[in-house]
Amino acid sequence: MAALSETDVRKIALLARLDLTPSEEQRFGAQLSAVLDHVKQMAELKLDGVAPTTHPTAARETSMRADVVQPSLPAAKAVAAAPQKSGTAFVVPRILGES
Amino acid sequence: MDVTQLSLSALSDALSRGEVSSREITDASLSRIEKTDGNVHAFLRVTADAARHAARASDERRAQKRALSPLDGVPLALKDLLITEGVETTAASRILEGWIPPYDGTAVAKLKAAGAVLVGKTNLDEFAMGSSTEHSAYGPTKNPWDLSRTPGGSSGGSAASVAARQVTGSLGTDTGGSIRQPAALCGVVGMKPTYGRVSRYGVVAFASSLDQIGPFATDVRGAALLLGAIAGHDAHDATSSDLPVPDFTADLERGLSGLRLGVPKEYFVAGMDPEVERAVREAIDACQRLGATVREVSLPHTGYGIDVYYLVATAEASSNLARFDGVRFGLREPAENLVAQYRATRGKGFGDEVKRRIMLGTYALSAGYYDAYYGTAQKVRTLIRNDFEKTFAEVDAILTPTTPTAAFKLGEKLDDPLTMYLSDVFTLPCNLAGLPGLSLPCGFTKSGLPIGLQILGRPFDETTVLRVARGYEREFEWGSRTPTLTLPREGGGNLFGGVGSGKIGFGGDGSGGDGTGGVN
Amino acid sequence: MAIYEPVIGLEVHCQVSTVSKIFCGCSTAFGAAPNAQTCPVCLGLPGALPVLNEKVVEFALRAGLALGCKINPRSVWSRKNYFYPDLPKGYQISQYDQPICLGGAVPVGAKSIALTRIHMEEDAGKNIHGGAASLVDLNRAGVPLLEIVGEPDLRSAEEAANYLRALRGVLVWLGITDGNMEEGSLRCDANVSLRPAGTEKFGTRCELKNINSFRNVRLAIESEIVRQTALLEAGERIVQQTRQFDAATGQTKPMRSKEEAHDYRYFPEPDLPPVLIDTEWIERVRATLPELPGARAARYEKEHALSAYDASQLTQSRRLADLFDAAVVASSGKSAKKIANWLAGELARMVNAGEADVEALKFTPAQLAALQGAVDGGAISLGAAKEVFGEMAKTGTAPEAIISARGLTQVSDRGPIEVACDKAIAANPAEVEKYRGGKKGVIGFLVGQVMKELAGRGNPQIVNQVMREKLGG
Repeated sequence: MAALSETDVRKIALLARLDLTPSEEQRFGAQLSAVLDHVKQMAELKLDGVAPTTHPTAARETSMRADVVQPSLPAAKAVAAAPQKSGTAFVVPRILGES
Repeated sequence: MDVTQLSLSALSDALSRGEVSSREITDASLSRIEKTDGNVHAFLRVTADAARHAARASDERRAQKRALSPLDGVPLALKDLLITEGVETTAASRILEGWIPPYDGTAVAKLKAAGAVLVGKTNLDEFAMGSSTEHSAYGPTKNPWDLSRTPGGSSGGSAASVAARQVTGSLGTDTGGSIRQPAALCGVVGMKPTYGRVSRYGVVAFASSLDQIGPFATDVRGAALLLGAIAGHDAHDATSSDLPVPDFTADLERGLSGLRLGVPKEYFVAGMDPEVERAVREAIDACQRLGATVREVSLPHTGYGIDVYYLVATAEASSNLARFDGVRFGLREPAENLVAQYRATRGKGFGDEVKRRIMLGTYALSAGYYDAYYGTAQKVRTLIRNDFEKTFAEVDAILTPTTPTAAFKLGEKLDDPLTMYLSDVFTLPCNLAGLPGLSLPCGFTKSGLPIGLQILGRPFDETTVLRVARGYEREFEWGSRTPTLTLPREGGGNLFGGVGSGKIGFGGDGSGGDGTGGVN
Repeated sequence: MAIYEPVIGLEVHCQVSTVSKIFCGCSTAFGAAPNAQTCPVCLGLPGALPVLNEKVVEFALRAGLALGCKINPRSVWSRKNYFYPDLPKGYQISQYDQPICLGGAVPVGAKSIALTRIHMEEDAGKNIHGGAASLVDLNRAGVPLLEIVGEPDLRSAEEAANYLRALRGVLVWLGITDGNMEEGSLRCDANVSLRPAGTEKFGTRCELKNINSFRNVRLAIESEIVRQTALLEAGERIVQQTRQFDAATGQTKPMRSKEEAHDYRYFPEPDLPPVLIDTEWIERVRATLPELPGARAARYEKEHALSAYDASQLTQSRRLADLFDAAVVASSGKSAKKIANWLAGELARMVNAGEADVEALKFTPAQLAALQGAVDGGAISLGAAKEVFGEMAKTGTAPEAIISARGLTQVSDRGPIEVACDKAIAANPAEVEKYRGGKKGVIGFLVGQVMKELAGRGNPQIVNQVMREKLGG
C-alpha cells in the first residue's frame, strides 16, 4: 500500500495552505493512501512513446486575441468583495517576514 | 392544463403558440419550488422577483412577435457553479458564501439573451466535487424519487429540480459525470457536450481540461434546445471551439435506422446492479429493433479511467482552488500572519471532500511524484482517447449504462471516498476523451428508482447522440413519469404516481420498469 | 592563495510593449489608481479564463529571431504554483519545459553571450509593504513579460552590466520594450558563483533578485563577489541562497528563508492551448525585423565612410539611426557625413546638456536635409545653422521659416558687401595703411568690421574676396 506518512500529509497540507486537524490528518492520510494504492495499477501499462494528453482540443487562430484594450472593472467594483481593503487596494497581513 | 407536467419542448411549443404565458408558467414553477423544495432542497437560492420580471418582459416580446428564441420565457435553473452577475454564487462552499460576482458567465449571458427566465441557483457538491450532492456546505439535495436517497452529483440540484418538475430544464456541469450520473439517478435527460462546445467562461473551475457545461431537461428535444442556446465559440475561452453550431433539433426525428451502435464489453462488470444491467440491455435490444446495427466493441483501458481521472482532476483542482485565499473575495479567517491566514481561511472554508482532493492533487504534482502520478495519468489518458478513436471508426455511437447502480442512500458512501469515486466509473472516460455524452431514462428498478442509458458520440457529433436518444425516447418516454415527492415510508418503500401525458413506458418483455409506475 | 574567477548569468525580465495585458484586455499603462486596471481575469476571480494576446507571441518571435534563437514550433504554457498576495490565481502562467525560444546569443562588444532560452509569462501585481498590513494592487498583474535567460558566460560585474545594456539596446531597438528600468519595464536576477581560476567546475551560486538599474547590477554583483571571495578565503563554504541587494548599504543580504522549500508544481496550463508557430508566421515576423544596430553601424562605416565613433553614436537608438537614413535620402545621398555630424555632434551635445531627447525629436529628416542644403548652398553660415538646428530640435519649425524669421539669410550679393567694405576702409585708415605696408594679417580685423556691419550674415568667402580687391591685392 502506497501509504502516506504523517510527515507527508503535513508537508502537503502546508504546500496547499490548508490547516488540518490531527483527526483530518489521520483520516485523509488513510483515504488518500487507498486512492494512491488503486492508481498503482497504471504501472502495468507500457507507456513508452505514448504522448501525454495535456489538452483535449487543438490550438486554433481563435485561441488568441488581438492586442486591444477593453474596459476594466471600476476599481471600486474590483475590490467590492474584498474582506479588507484600503481605498481601492486589497489589504493583507504584513508580508515581510513571511517569505 | 397543468403546466408543471409539460416537457420543456412542449412548454416551448405552447409558449410559441400563445397557449400559455411565461408569467403563468413562471408562477407555476415558483409555486412548485415553494411547495416541494422543503423536501427536495434542489435550490440554494430562488430569484423569484427577477424571474417574474423576466417573465413579464418575455410575454411582452411574445405579444409583439419578437421572441428571442424557442426558450424565450421558459423558466430554467442554474447550478450554483455558474457565475451570475449580482446574484450570490457559492459553488456550495462556505469559502464563497455571500460572494456577489461582478460578471455573468458566457452560458448564463447566452440564456439571458435567449430570453430564458432564470428562477434560481441549484445545489451541488462543493466545487462540483462529489457524486451525491452530499458534499454541499448547505445540506444535501434529496432524490425526488426517494427522499432517503441521493440525487447523484455533483449537479444533483439541477437534476432533482427537473425530476421534481420545479423547472423543465436546467444547466449543470460535468467533469467526470456530474450531469449524466444525476440525470440517470433522477430519471431525466442530461447531456455533457464535447469539450470546447460550450464556453467555460464563468464556471467556477474544478478541472479545466474536463469541465463542460451542459443541459438537463425533461426530454431530449428540450436538451437539444438548451444546448443550442449555450453552444458556440467564445472569445473569453481559448479552449472553446470555433466549429459552427448546428441546429441540434434537426436530426432528432430521423430514427435509428442505419446507425451503427457499439456496446463496450468493459462497461458490463461484476458488481453492477442486475436490474440496471437488464434495463440497459433491454434498451440496447430495443435500439436494434428500431433499426440500428448493434455490435460489441472493446474499450480496453476503461478500467484505468478512474485512476487517470482522480489524478488529473485533483491536480488541476489543487491549482484552480488556490485563488480562494481570502484576499480579494470570499471568506477570510484572520490570523497573525499571512501563511497562517491562508491556512486558516482554506482550512475553515473548504469541506472535507475538497480538502481531500486538493491534498491528492498537490501530492500528484509535487516534486519527485509528478512523473509517477500526474505524468503517467496524462499518458494513460492518451490510451483511453485512442480506444475511443479506434471504436468510433467502426460505430456512430456507443451505448452503456450511465451508472452501475440506481440511486444510493444518503450517507451510504460518504465515509468511503474510493467507493464513491467508483460510482463514476462509466462516466469518467467520456470526459477524459473530451467526447459528448448523454444519459436518458431507460427504465426503473423494482423499487421505483430510475435507470439511465448513456450514449457517447464522436467529438462534436452531438447531433448523432441526440438522434439516438430521441429515437429511443419516442418509443418509450420513461422521462414523462414524475415522482410524487412523498416522504419515504418506514421500511424503505415509496410511493409513485403522476404518470405524465404521452405514451407510458413499457418494459420490453413485460419485466423491468413497467410495474413500478404508480403501482409499487 | 587561489585566485577566484566569477561566473555570472543573468535572467532578464522585460515588459513587452503591448497596450493590453497578456491574458485580458486591461490596459498596461503605468500609474493608474490601485486596481483601476483590473477585470475578472487579472483579478483571478472564480470562473475567469485567460486568452492569449497574439502580439506577445509576435514580440517573443521578434526577440528570438533577432537574437538567433531556435523557435519552438509548439510551445506550451505551464502553471507555476505558489501562494502570494500579488499572485491572484495562486499560480503564475509561464512557460516551463517547452519555451518559445531556445539558444541564441547577445553580441556584447566583440564577445557574444549565449542565451539559454526566452519564454513568455505574466507579471505579478504589486505589494506595498506597510506597518502591520500590506496593500495589494493588481494593475501590474498580467502585464506581459519576456524572460531572457543567459548562459553563465559573464566573468565580471562590468561585463554583466555591459551585457544588460546591450540586451536592452537590442530589445528597445526592436520595439519590444520601452526598456524603462525606473518603471520596472526591465529587471534582472543575477546568478553569481566563484571558482578557482583555471578550473571548470562551477561553484555554489547565489541568486540576486530584482535588480532594477545598470548601476545596481554592477554594484550588487561586485559586492557579492567580494562577499563570496572573503568566505572562500576564510575557508568557508558558500550556501546556495536567494539574496537581495540593498542599495543603501551597497551589500547583498539573504532574503528571509522560506519555511518550506519551493515546490512550484509546474504542470501544463489546461486553459490555454499550446502556441503553434508555423514557418509562415516566422517568415512574416522576420520580414518586419529591422537591421540590428551592429549591422547598421558597420554599413554606415562602409557606405558613408563614417568614423566608427559616429556610426556607433548614430546606432544608439533606432529612432536616431532611422532619422539619419531618412535625412540622407532626403539630401539625395550627398551630405551623409555632414548629416552624421549634426546628429552625432550637435544633437549629442544637446542631449547631454538635457536640451533634447532623442526619443522625442520635433524635426523631420527632410528639415535636417534642408538645413544642410542651406549651408551647402551658401544661404546661411554654419554658425547660423547651429542656431537654426537648436530651434528646429525644440520646436519642429521648418528651417526656412526660422532663417527668415530671425533674418539669418547670408549676404552674398556684392552690392551690400562692397558698401560695407568701403565703410570699413574709410573708418580705419590706420589698419588699411598697415595692410598696404605688408601686414596682411590686418585683413582679419577689417573683415570683422564688415561682418559686424552686416550683422554677421555676410558670406565670409565673398567678404574676404571683396575686401582683398578693395585693398588692392
